[in-house]
Amino acid sequence: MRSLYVARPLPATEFSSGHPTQKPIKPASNEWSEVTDSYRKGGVIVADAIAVRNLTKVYGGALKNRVPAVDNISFTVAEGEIFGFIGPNGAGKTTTIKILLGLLFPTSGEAEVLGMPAGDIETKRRISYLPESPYFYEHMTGAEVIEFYCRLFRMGTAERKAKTQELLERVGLAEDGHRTLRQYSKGMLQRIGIAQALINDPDLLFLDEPTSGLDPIAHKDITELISSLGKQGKTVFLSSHQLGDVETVCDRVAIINRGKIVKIGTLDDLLRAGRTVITFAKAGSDLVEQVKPYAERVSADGELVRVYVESEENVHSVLDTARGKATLVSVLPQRQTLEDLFVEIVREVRK
Amino acid sequence: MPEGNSRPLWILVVVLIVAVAWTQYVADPIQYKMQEKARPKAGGGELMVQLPGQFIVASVAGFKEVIAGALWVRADTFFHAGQYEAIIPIVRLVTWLDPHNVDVYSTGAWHLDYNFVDTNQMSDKRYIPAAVALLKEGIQHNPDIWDLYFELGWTHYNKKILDYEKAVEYIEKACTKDGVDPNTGQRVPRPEYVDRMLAHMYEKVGRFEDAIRQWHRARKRVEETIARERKKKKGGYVDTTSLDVCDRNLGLLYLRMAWRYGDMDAYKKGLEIYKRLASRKDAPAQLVEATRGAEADYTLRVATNNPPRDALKPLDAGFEVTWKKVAPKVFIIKGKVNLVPASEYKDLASECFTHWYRDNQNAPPEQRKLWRDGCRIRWILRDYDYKMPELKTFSYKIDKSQTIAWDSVYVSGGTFSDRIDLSQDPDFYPFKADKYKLTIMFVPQQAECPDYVQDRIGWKGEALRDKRYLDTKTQPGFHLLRKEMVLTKDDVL
Amino acid sequence: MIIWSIAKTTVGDALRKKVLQIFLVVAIGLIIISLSFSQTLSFSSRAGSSTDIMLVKSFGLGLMAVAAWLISLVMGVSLIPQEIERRTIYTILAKPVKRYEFIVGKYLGAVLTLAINVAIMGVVFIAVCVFKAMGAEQPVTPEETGLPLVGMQQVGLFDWNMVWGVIMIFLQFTVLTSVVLLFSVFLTPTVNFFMGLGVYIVGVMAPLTETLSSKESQLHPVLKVFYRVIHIIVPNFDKFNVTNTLLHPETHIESMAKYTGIVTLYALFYSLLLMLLAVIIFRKKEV
Repeated sequence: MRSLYVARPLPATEFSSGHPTQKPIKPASNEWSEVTDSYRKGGVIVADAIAVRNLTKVYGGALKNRVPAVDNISFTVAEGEIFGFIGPNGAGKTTTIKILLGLLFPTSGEAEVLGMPAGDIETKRRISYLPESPYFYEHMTGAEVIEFYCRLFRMGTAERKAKTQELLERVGLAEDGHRTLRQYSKGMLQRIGIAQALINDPDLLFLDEPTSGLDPIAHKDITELISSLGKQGKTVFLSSHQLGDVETVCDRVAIINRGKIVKIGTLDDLLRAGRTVITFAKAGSDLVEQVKPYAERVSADGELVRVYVESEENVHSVLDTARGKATLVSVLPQRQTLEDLFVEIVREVRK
Repeated sequence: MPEGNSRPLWILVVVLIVAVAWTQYVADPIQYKMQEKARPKAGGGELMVQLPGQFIVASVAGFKEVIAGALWVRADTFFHAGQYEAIIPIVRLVTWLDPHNVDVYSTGAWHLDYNFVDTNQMSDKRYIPAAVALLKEGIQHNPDIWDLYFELGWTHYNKKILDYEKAVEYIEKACTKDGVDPNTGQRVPRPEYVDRMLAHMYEKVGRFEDAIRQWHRARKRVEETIARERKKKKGGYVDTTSLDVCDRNLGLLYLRMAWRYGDMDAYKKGLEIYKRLASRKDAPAQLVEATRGAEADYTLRVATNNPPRDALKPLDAGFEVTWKKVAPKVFIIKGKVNLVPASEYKDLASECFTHWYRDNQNAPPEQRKLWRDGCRIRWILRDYDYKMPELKTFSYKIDKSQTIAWDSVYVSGGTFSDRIDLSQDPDFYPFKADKYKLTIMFVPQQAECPDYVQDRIGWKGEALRDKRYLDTKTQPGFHLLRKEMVLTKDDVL
Repeated sequence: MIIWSIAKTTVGDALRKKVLQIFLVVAIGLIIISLSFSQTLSFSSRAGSSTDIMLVKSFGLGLMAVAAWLISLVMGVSLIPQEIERRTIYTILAKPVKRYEFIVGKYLGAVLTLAINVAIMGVVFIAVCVFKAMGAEQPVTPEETGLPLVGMQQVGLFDWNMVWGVIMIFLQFTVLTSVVLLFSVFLTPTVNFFMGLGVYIVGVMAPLTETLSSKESQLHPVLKVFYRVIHIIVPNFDKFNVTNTLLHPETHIESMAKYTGIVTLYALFYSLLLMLLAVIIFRKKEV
């Protein structure tokens, strides 16, 4: 019954029935506001691969005065999305992933993976996980490790052999399958980690810092692999603090800091939300006074007046106001890098 | 969100607890039965204190036998280094840790009996009670095997104590027990020599009827063994010399009963046995000749109705003994005893069998002996009120203030003489008492008394006579020679 | 099949652990060295070489017990924590593997590892015993009696009791492994090591706790109850300690086979119980 799942709507109790793919997903309450942010691939409404609602995790159970590792977060990841989950160390990334995998149990709130409560054993057939710098059993060869993981999916001997060969080739370890992991470099271990995560041809992959500590070539291979997964229509939940990677491969990003999601949205949304700098020449002093209400900051630099504007609406207002009163030199939207955004957000929160 | 419902698991937990309790319940009685015997009876707590710390842990952690083994190997190195004092505490610990290591008891007892020697190689007799107590403790732990009974009997018989009656008791006990193959732990019959030993002992103390019965019993065991071996080896070679040993000894016992006390029935029985032995192809010439001689003697005595009674002819021992202090704690014992002039062997019935007198007479005059030597005179020097302590539990701590020494002197040519130097070992012979007792004696049934001497004076020394020192009271039914002197401190020091 | 592959991987992993290899090699080395033990200080009516054999046996059994003890402790304490440290547990539990399958697989692997180790030592040990017994034929002479020589006493080669001894060692430390495995679900290796050690020592001293809690005991009733509880809860490792009886079979074991059977059941039930508790805890455990 669960396996019939194709593209599933959120539970029927919360939504009126209808064809899932055409259903406008609009939760009633503000609590669900994040859901509206869901990225809709190609304008087609897709079901959620991950849905997290008011999730809180406090380590140490009932003990008082514990700072929650994850503090009342809610978000969804749509099917087929490559979702970046970024934040500084200790922000709650791994905790969230572990909850989604059923390794940890939430203190409150809910977490659903592929429509089932997190940790559901059948769902695990369709997901996979690559932990941060995994080690595996050193005494085994690369092929043996993959075979071992294949066994966990109850694969038959022939299937196992074929799958192992296929995966080793895919991650570029076909030549090294007979060597023991003790002889592997960090990059090779990471590739084994990727290979084991691909055994079941998962619909949803959790990758925890998949590129940390890798040499540039391995790094590139892995980011390419993640992109290709996205092209195959897989959902990827990518936790990382390698912002460059996230920027390259992710469709949508959530920034988490101190257990809270600070920002969530498509890369375009998040980064475009930067300032626009409008530069005028020959501007009168009254103009400066007139645009001030719309501007964040106005600076005069000799002949040139720079107006720093936050929102698009204000850009128009400034331009309308200045029409005929000065010479417009340039209107430059300042697109931030993800890094700028990240640093800015983290700083803000610290304040 | 933990997986599933735990209730069935908890039910299983309860079921398993019941199962565990049940197995405990069934196993407990068997275990206690086993361990009751494995647990030492002597006070373990005090002993524990003597163990090095890590050994305590190891011994409670179930590695007692290993510790015991390690200690015992250590004892071996002490032994080779001559550090005898160090061995005894180890014996104590080892027997406590592993009360079934029979070997440690017997070796320990032997060690106590023999190895604490003075400069003259005389052993410290004060350790003997400890040796006896150790063996008794060993018997307590290992009551079902013959080994330690035999050991204890032997200690009483010949090793040290010279208590022949007690010795017989212990060997009798040993003869009711089986042995165990110490390697495989399988029950094995006790060695046949244990049974034969008992027969010898009966004979030594003059219990002929018992001795005869025991020889028959011993022979029967040998027969059974041989039959078993034959079956096993299917026609292969089976050693039957043990049968001959029994036969010769039984035959000789019969003959001696006849020679010494005139029992003609026994003479006949003994002869029958010897005739059978002599008729064999491989019979030694000496045996054939001896048998022939005895047969002739028997025929003559029957014809003349003259049963031999050699041991009933009185022999005046003429026992004389002097004691002299030559230096403090150095003494000379000197004396004469009429045991046994060659002439006394003339016309003895046993002569027909041994031909010793005839051969002596035929020898060239310069080689001819006037005496048949071989007796030993025993001397015992001890504190006046010394009594051998009887220890309830084994302890190797001896009373160092006591003095007790004994030894025996070889009689040669009717005289004996010995220099006893007790001055060099003040630890062994502290001489702290005010009065001492010196006993010098001859006991016919002691192991060192040769058979040929008994042929003349009888098993119980019936023929012994002496004007001054004949003692018939100490051991009723026995004639001993015994001189006892009381010495003052001045006499000794 | 999942349980079996986890078990197999655990065995492979454990067998390659340097520490455990050292324990094994040292134990085997010492067992072989014990061949040269001989007791010249022997003065008894028993055959001297038999005493040597007994020495080899007691040493061998003891050494195997120590080695198995260390192996089960050292292996057991890291069983679960190591999986967490290497993060392999995450990849395994992220796959469709039930948590009980993981624990049972781990446990089975640990018991198999112990079995392999004990079997290797056992084979060497029994070979050493047989070797020592070979040609150990002793003339039995009654000392000093001057009586005729009695003959030769054959020393038996193979001693079944030693096989029982090896089995008992395996059973005993299977239970200890289960104890440590249960603890390793929620304790750090170091704490677990000492806990395991403590439980073992208390369990070995079962006769003591039994005595302390008996009716004859002079202790305060509350203490008595305390010792009784200890006695009941802690596995009775003393049950497996039959070395003395095996070395000195003159104590008449009515039926070693029967006792071994019951004790096997005891070990089995106890281990299952502990494993079950480990499963129950691990199901709710956050990793």
